[in-house]
Amino acid sequence: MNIEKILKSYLPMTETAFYILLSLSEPRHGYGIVKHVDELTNSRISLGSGTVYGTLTKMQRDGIITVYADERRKTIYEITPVGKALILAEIERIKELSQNAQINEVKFRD
Amino acid sequence: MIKVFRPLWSLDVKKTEGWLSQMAAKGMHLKTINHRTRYFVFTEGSPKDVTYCIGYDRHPSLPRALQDNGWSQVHGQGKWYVWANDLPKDEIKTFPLRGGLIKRNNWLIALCSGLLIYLVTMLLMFSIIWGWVVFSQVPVTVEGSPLWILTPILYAGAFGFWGIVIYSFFTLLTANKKLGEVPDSNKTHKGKLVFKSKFLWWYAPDRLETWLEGLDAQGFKLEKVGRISFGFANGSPRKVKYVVDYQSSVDQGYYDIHKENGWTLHHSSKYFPGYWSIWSQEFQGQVAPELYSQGSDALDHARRLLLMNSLLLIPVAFFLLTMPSRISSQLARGVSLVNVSNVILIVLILEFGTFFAMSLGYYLRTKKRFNHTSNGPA
Repeated sequence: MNIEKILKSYLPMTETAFYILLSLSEPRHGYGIVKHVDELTNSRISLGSGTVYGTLTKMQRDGIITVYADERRKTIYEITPVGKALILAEIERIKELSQNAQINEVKFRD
Repeated sequence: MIKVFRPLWSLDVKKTEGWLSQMAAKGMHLKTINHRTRYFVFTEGSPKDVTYCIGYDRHPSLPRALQDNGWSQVHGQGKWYVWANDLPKDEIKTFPLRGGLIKRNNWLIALCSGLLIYLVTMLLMFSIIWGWVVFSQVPVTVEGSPLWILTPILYAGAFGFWGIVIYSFFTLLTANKKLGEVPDSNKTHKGKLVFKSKFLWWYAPDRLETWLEGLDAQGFKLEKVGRISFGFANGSPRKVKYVVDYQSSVDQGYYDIHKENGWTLHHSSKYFPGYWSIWSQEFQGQVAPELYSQGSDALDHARRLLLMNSLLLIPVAFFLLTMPSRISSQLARGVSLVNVSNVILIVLILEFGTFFAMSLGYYLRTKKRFNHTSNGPA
C-alpha cells in the first residue's frame, strides 16, 4: 500500500486510532488492546469493543495491521511495516506539538 | 521441474492445500503458480511434511509472529499468496486467518446465485413455451441452423459454461463452510421456553433492543432467536444491555473481541444487506455498557443501511412508472384490472416501500439520539 496515501489519509490521527495503533507495539488480542488503552490513559479513554473492531477492520483494509490466530484459534492483531511508518510519523508530529506546548505554556499562566 | 494443470484450484482452497502437502510428501515442492494458465510448478527435492496455507487479501502481509513460528512465503502474485510451514504439526502454534478468502468466496457465491436465478427463469420460460407448442398443436415452422456445426458447438459451450457455474456454486458453499468462522450461538436450552414474535426485527434494531431489555427486567431471559420468534426462559429480573449490531461482513475477530469484552452472543445471521448479531451484557449500577463508545459508529451503520435499502426504491420507481401504461393497455384489451400480475406488483411496491420506510425511521431515530448525546449537557 502506498505509504504517502496512508499518511495523507490518517494524519493527524484521532485519539482512538492513535492509541489503538500505539498498543500494537506487540501483537495483541482485541480485548488486550481495550485493556492496554485503558491503562495507558488511566481510564480516561475507555473504548467499546465495537469501536475498536471498526477501527481495526479499517486499518486491516488499508494494510496498516495484519491478523493471525493463536493456538486457541483466537484472533491476534499485529502492526505491519506500513503501520510502523505511520505511527512513527504521528509520534514525530506529536513531539513537535508537545515541545512547542511546553515552551509556551508559561506565557498563558498568570 | 514438474507442471500440473489444476484449473479450478481456487474453489476449494483447503482441498488444494491438502494436495500440495501430499505432493511435498512425495518430494515435490511448490515453486510457483501461473494464475493465467492454471499451472502449478513444482521443483523436485526430498520428501517433507509441509503444511500449506493459500490466502487472498487486499494487502498480503506475512505477520512477524508467523515468520518466527516457521511460516514463509512460497508464492505471491497480486492478492494471492501461498505460505508454507515445514515444522512438525505439534510445533505450529500460530495460524493464518481466512477472512479475505471467505469474503471473495461469498462474492463469487452471490455472482453464481444471480446467474443461476437467470438460468432457472430462462429454463422455466422455455419449458412453458415448448409445452404450449407441443400440446396446442399449433402449426410450427422450424428454421434450420445457418451452419450445421454451430448448433452442437453452442450447445457444448452452454453446457460447459453452466456446468462450471453450478459446480462452482456448490463447491464454494462447501469450501466456505470448511473455512467458516461464524460461531454457533443457538445452544439447546433445557427447560420450557416462552415464545414471542417480532417481524422484520432487523429493520428496527433500536426498538428490538428496548423490547428485549424491558423483557429481561421482567424476568424473561433470551435463550433462542429465529427470523420471527424469540424464545425466553423464566428467570429473575436483571439489568441487561442488549445491542443489535449490523456489519457488512464479519470474521473470527468480530466474535472474539466482543466475547472477550464480556458480551454474550444470542444470534448471528445474514439478513440483507449484511450480518446481524444480537449481543447482551448484564450490568450493575446505573451506567450500561456500550458496544460503541462513539455514537458515530451506530450512526454510520444506520446511514449505510439506509443507502442499501434505498436501492430497493429502484424497482419500486420502475413499477410505478410502468403502472399507467400497464393499466391503459389492460383497459384497452378489456382485461379486468384485478388480476394476478397487478396484485403481485402492488404487493412488491408495498413490501419494498415498507423496508425503505423502516430503514429511514431507524436512521432518523439514531440521528436524533446521536445529536442529543453529542450536544450533551453544557
